[in-house]
Amino acid sequence: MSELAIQTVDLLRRYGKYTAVNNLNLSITPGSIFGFLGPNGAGKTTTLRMLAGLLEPSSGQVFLHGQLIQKTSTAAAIVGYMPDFFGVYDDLRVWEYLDFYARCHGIEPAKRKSTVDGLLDLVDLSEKRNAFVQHLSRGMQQRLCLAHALVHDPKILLLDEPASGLDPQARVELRELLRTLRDMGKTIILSSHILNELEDICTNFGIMARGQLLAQGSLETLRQRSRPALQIKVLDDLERAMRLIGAQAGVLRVLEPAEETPNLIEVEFDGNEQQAAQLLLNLARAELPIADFHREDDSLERLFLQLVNDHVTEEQR
Amino acid sequence: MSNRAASRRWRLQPNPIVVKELRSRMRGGRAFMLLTGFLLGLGLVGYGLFLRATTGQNNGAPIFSAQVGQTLFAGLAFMLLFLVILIAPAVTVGAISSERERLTYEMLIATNLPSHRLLWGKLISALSYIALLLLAAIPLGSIVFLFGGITVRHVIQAAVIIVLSAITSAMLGIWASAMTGKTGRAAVVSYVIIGLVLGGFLFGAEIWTNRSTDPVPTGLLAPNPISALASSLGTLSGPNSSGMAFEGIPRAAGGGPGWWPGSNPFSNAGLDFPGWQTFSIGIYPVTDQFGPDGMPIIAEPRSVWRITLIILIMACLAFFWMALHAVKPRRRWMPTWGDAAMLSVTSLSLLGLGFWIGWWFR
Ligand SMILES: Nc1ncnc2c1ncn2[C@@H]1O[C@H](COP(=O)(O)OP(=O)(O)O)[C@@H](O)[C@H]1O
Ligand SMILES: [Mg+2]
Repeated sequence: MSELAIQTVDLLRRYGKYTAVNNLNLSITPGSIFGFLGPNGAGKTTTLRMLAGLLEPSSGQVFLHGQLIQKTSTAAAIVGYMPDFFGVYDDLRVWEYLDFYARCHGIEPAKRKSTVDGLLDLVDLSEKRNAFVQHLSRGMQQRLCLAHALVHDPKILLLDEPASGLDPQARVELRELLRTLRDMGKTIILSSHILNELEDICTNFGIMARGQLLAQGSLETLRQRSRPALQIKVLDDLERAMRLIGAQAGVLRVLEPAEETPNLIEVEFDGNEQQAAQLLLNLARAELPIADFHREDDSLERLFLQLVNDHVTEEQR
Repeated sequence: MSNRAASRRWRLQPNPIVVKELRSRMRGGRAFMLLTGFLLGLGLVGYGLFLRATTGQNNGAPIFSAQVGQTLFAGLAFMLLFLVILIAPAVTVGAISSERERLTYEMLIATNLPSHRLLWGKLISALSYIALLLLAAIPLGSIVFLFGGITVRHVIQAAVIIVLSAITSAMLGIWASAMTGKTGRAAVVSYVIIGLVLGGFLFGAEIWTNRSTDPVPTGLLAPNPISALASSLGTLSGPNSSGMAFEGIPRAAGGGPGWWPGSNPFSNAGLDFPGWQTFSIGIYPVTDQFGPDGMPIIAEPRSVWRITLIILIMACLAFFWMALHAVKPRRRWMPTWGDAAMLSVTSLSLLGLGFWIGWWFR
């Protein structure tokens, strides 16, 4: 147990009757960047707040580096937390802002200045040292907020939707920063509802929907769980096409087209290439207007949608 | 690091909240404009009182300088009491709720800063601003000494009542802020409570005196800082019939034209500022003794202010305790043994202190 940076045991949180987080069992190894994925309302924020000791679980436990979290102050020493929606004290200067949090963490006066300067350097805000916080851009405020979470040199960083609302340039910078932090040996958990934001920096993933953890592990282990699929774009006569496809060898399931792509039929398919070729041939013989036919790559997004879909159908049953 | 080591380190440092609040509050001109307005208002009221106290001269009646001093002192003391009671919550109702509203609260709570230091910091920074107001009022207030008629004891008593009321009022604002989490709601709650305590109890005493000949019960007087101040100011003594010497001659209050029985030349003078009769409702015990001139002789005012001080201190502690629990992310309302111990230690020390200085020099 002490090997894990974060472990939750049957973590559960209710708001009234609504269960926002349901029996969550997370295990996160030290030094990993853990991507916490899930649609809005999945319970990511609720989970992170419980990890930070800011919200009391209805039941279950949180262990940070083997230590049971029962008080906010226990978590505070181990964790740096950046909320999804945060405000800043805009009548303070940038250095005063960090100095304030340094004081709140009880950092000695002698070390305070070097801490603040080091962090400003790390998040690339040294030039803005004397600017008022309200005059910073959104991306800069985000970085400043990230810096505030690092003031006491925590082992674990909890970042809730750190990339939301950032322009592409700022995202690239954030990614750089996260890599630097990982190299410093920190365990980082970041949540997101946008998948490709995370794919290339995270070492591990947890996929969450409706309060439940659907899968966790490295990208490779998750990929093994994903079923290959075909995407077929049919311009007309969708009903007939779907019936025909459903009757072919190798087809597991035909999904209803999504609203935004009404002509795109998604097919779960575990047949070989021969069977795929036969499927296309049959569609052409039936004189269906096929505009596109390809094998879907096994991206995180696909896996994610599959898992969430499965989960929803399971719940409906 | 151990908690103990951390708290030892903290004790040596200024409260981070105070540092932050002072950095941002004192920035820009707002704080100083309010200060200027406050002093101007105080000056105007003082001048108005002076004019009122000296109008007797225009009618040919002699005026003692001491009477002017007493009127000015009482008027300024009430004015200060009102102002600090009203301003203090305005400074503190946002203490916790504004942190919640501008989404900085979680980040603050997620630091190592203990909740009591958070609250303490908010209280100190609010009070330091109010202290600035009070200190700035001292030069103006000391004009009173030019006229005389008051004693150091009265000044200290009034100062203690005003300062403690300010602290309680500030603590009320912090409590409302922590409990409601919304600045607007906290302001409404605070001012309704202040209105009820200041106005409600006076009104209650008024109704009591109209309905009953029994003395107003202490319970209707003691919780009200206005009654407390009135009971302290009520012991300002008038001149005796031989003229200038001041001693503790019983006076009537609210008893028509005869303020100082037996000293008719001054019958229209004395503590002559607007509202005195209202404020001192129930403070003077009912009497059946009459002076040679037929005016009722009224004994010493009831010194309810001592009980008021105890009530205010207890209220502060209660507000602090509740706010302390409300700011924690994990609220628990069960009092701990520590709370019980704290309560008994404060009660006992208050009692002991009271007896030790003989109920605080009368
Ligand atoms: N304070 C709260 N009171 C009631 N319901 C809440 C509260 N916070 C979150 N919820 C509900 O819990 C669910 C999970 O919310 P959240 O953890 O914020 O999801 P996510 O961060 O994944 O978008 C949502 O359905 C939300 O409506
Ligand atoms: Mg969220």
